[in-house]
Amino acid sequence: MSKIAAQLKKGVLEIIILSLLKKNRMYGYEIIQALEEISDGYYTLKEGSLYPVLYRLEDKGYITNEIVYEESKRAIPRKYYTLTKEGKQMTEEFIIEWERFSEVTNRIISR
Amino acid sequence: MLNKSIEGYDSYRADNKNDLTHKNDAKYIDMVMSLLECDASYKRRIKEDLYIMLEEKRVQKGGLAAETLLGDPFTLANEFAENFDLEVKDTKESDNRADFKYGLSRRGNFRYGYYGHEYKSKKTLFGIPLVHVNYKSPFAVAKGIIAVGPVAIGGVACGGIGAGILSFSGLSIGLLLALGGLGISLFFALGGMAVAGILAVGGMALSGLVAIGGFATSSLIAIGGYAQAKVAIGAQIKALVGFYTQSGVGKYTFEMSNDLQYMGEIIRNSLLKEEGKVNTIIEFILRHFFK
Repeated sequence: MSKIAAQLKKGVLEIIILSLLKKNRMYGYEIIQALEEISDGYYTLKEGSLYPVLYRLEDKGYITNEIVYEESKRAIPRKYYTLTKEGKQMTEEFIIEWERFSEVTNRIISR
Repeated sequence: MLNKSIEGYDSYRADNKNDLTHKNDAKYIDMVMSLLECDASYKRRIKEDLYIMLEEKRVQKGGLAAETLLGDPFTLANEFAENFDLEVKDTKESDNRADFKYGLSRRGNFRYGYYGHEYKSKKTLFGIPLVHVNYKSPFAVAKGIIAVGPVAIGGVACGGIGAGILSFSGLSIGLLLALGGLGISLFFALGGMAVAGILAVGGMALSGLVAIGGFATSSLIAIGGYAQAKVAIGAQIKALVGFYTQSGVGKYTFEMSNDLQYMGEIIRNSLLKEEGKVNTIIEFILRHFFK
């Protein structure tokens, strides 16, 4: 992966994760898998990239986590992440801004 | 919620203490944590999440070793370090271990020849960061109201070489106060070797006004093993007026007395006789300490 691609991905990771959590609560590995699947392998997120973003979003109050103990072969609980009310609002704002950003940027690039 | 989950891991780990795979998980995670330099709450969160991720992946992918599931611990630690702060510079994507420049503990540094991290507070005063800690290289410079680093410049400077209003460093240059192996200050210095305008205290103390130390020399008052000044007190002295326990060179030098008031009178009278007046600082000291 080129340095440019890495920087671009890093810049949009927050909005991507917030968008994923908009519909459902998700756990860490689920987020990694969903990103990989939806992006056809373009986003191959690793733990060292995922968790710092999740911590930042948690610290800002946009997401919250919930520990769930499930009756299964799992020995330890799952940690689900959910958007907070503030997070939902921020996600909407993010998406509106992103649409404007990408539209304007594409217009400039394609001139 | 967090505590509850931690308890969960403790029991999980206790239940699986004979399981080599889980033992390896603990070793692997401890290794990652030992490489990361961040506060305890973050370490706790990372540790917790790595256990969860390992378990999750193991359930889905099968009983594989931690390294197979999460990758080389050095690479993982590097990823965390890079992503905790977006100001990380010059990081490369390869898992070349010489790339560890940011956020690693001293243990990592010794191993790879790099120092740890840099912290610069967002709060500023007169455009200068309130706190700047810089250990990114052995010669990194920290500049802040409070500056900490191999080379520190600021209001309060702490480091190998420090310059500031107050400086606490190996080589310490302080406007008001310098404390260190070598302390140099316009006002007060304390150190192995202390050089100051007003007061120097140290093994070797050189001062414009008052010097106290093993070897003390000043223009006005010196106290020490060897003391040289207008007024000196010590084992060996060289002075206009002073008291010694071993030897004294000077016009009005006398053997030390136990009577401070008497010593004070001698100093005062000798100076009056020689110079016709007593310096204000000397007078102040005589009044307060020789009574």
